Amino acid sequence: MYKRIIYENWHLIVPVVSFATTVLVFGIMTLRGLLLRKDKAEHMSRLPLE
Amino acid sequence: MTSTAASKVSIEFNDKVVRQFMVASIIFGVVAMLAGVFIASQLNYHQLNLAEWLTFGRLRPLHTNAAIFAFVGNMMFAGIYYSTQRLCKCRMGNDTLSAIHFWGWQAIIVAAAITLPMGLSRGKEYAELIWPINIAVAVIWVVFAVNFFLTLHKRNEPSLYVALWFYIATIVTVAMLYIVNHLSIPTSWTHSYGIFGGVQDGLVQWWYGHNAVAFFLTTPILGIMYYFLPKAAERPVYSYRLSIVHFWSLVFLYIWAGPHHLLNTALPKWLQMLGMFFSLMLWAPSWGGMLNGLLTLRGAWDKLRTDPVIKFFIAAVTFYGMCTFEGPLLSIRAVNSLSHYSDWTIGHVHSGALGWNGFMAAGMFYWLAPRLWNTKLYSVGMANFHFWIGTLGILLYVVAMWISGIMQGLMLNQVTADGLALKNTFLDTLQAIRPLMGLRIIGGGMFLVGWLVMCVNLWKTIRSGTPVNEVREVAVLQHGKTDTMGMKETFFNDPTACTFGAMLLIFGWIFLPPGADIASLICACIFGYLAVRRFQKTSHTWANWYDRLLVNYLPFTVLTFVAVVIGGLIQIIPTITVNSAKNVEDRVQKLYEPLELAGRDIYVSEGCYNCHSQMIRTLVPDVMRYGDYSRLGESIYDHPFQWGSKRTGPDLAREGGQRPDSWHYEHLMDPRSMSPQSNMPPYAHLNTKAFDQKTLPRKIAVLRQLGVPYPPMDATEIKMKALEQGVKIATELKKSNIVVRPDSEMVAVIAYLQKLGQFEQPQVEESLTKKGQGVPFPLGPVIPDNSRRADGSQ
Repeated sequence: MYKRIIYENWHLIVPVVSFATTVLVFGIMTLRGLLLRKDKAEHMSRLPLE
Repeated sequence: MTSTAASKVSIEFNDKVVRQFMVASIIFGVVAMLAGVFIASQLNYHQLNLAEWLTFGRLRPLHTNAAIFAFVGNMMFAGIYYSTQRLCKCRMGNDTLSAIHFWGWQAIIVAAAITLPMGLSRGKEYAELIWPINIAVAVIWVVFAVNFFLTLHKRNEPSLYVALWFYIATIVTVAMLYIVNHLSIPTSWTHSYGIFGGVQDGLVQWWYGHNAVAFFLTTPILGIMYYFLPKAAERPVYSYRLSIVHFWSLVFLYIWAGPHHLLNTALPKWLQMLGMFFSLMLWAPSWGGMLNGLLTLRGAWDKLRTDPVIKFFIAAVTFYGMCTFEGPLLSIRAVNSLSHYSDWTIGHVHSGALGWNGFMAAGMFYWLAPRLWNTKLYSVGMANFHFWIGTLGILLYVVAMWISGIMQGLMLNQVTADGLALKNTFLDTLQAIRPLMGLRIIGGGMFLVGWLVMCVNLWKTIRSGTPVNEVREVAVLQHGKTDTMGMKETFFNDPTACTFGAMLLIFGWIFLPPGADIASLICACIFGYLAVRRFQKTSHTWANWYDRLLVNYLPFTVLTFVAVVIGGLIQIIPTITVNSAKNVEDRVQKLYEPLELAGRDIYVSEGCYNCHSQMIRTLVPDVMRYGDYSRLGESIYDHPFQWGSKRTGPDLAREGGQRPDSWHYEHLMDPRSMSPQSNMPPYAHLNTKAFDQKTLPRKIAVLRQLGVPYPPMDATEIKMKALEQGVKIATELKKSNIVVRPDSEMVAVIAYLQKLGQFEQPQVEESLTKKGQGVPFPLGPVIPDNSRRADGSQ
């Protein structure tokens, strides 16, 4: 296998990194969602009905 | 467009193209489902392999391509064209481009329907079409993209609704996936070799294959859900805030999950873990989207009893939820060891294709038809009948496949009482699942019947009305109020600088050598702290930046592209840099001789990979059944890789040398003469055709170009080598009273099958084998498969 390129212990690191990345993306977008002004959210959600 | 006031104009939407795509989708839906029911029947009744061009191996790609690109593709375009014009409050960008898109796409479908049964295939699932058609697909996709972005450019509604975000993600990601996975060097007008080989090809293929599901069958349909479900329910989407989280987390996470198609294989473990973990995390955004769809019906659940459109939509969203729960479940390595290569996966994809895509399509068509032809739906009763027979059909299909997959998986893993050998032959397991495969035919047939009822219902609806293009008066958007954000404003600001800075430092932690990785991690923590402080001070500008993105389609598109490209780059770049024989420290595949290469191309063209894998997984039952597990270097020269995704027949990775040439000849001529109860099609036509000698030199030249270390050979030498090996095999067959042409396709395929599993043994392994130590499992199969042996001996 690619011993010198692919570290043997990467499978220990990958879960942590993937979880951290997901928390980052989720966190930022949840924050953005929560901080959205109510009137703006209301307007945007009604666009298909106009 | 006619001006009625200074700030208002009357817009006539281009609904003709919507009608065209809709009708095309309905027709190709019938074709795809008919092909599906037919090939499902072939698995139980081998006699239905009626001719060379009607074998399972050739028709299965036709079924999958028709379902994905012809049925769902046309449905998706109908939905996108209809909703984009309404959401942008303007006509599509350019009518000529719309027409080119429609007719070009149909021409591609017809070309695929002709070439696939002819055996013209690239040998990669959902990417079988030959290179000239690939180019046509790319061109037509660009036409679609230009038309779509022109529409966004001239829109009269400043804000981009969430459905448009999903369409943008679809357009940029499908273009990226399709182009990368189809990069090839032609050897003739109908054949090419992909530039990737072996494990790298496997990784790129499933990066594409998985995300074809994600970005062709899911994101555009989610956009359609976000538009049509509120329209049908006559109430706004449940939570716009949730849709923001849903969109960004889905597009970011989906692209990483491809390696879950290659679990327990020779793929490096870290990539398998990456695929598994990102798949598991997909539960959250998928269910966020499903709940957003279901809860849109809040306060209007009574419509579920009366309105067939709502019935289809809600059932579709429910199937989406079931399917996106099952997908991550199947991505857990332990579950995958049982489910992979079995019917369980087939059941999973059909709960998505029939339940999610099929029902969303039906709901949308029932809603659209009366509006596009200015009439009423012909029969609500027929629509309700369609709903119930379709639902029962899907459930029957899916449950049968679940049971079949689990049963076969368990039987394949079952050992004898002493635990030293496997209990069942492959054929035993095939016989056990035959009744379940029969139930699948009935389930699929029921879904098809429902679809045909819909065809009649919509035909009657269309006949009762006349085609109309909706005309609407809209306020003209003042130029300069939207799309003013430049690239500088997009990227050089706090939110993007902090996000990309943090990611860069985290990647530094992953990729940098010891010492530097810790430094990078510490920097990432400090950077994160500073980013939080910065956000506390200037949160309003962060929010303002995102709000501005929603009225600036180009920066939004670029950021979406960045979000999807990160996952692909991290997975693919490491394998591109190391995927050559000089970096492999284990076994390396032996080169195919010219005749064997010709045989391999026939194997690919016949679609044998649809039923036979060439990957013995790192699992004890696999090793006991098929021999030593497959190493990464053992398929390094394979363009395309042939690891497969389904075992309707046994694995062939170490088939070479297991049986005499005469066994293969008899088996290919009539599989049941050697393996009673086999469901494999006969390949007697290989005996009457000569293999393609003419293009062999060009093929070997292209492979050399791609890094396969063939020695320099001229055309005559290549042809002579091929014929010499052909004569040798023909002479061997003659000893068994079998007369065969040395230049026949039959001889080429036998040569290829006998080569499978041959490798250059590394010195370390050689010394271990000589001493007879250090080998944890027997290197040969423990279960002698009597029925597959020519002499019947053990």
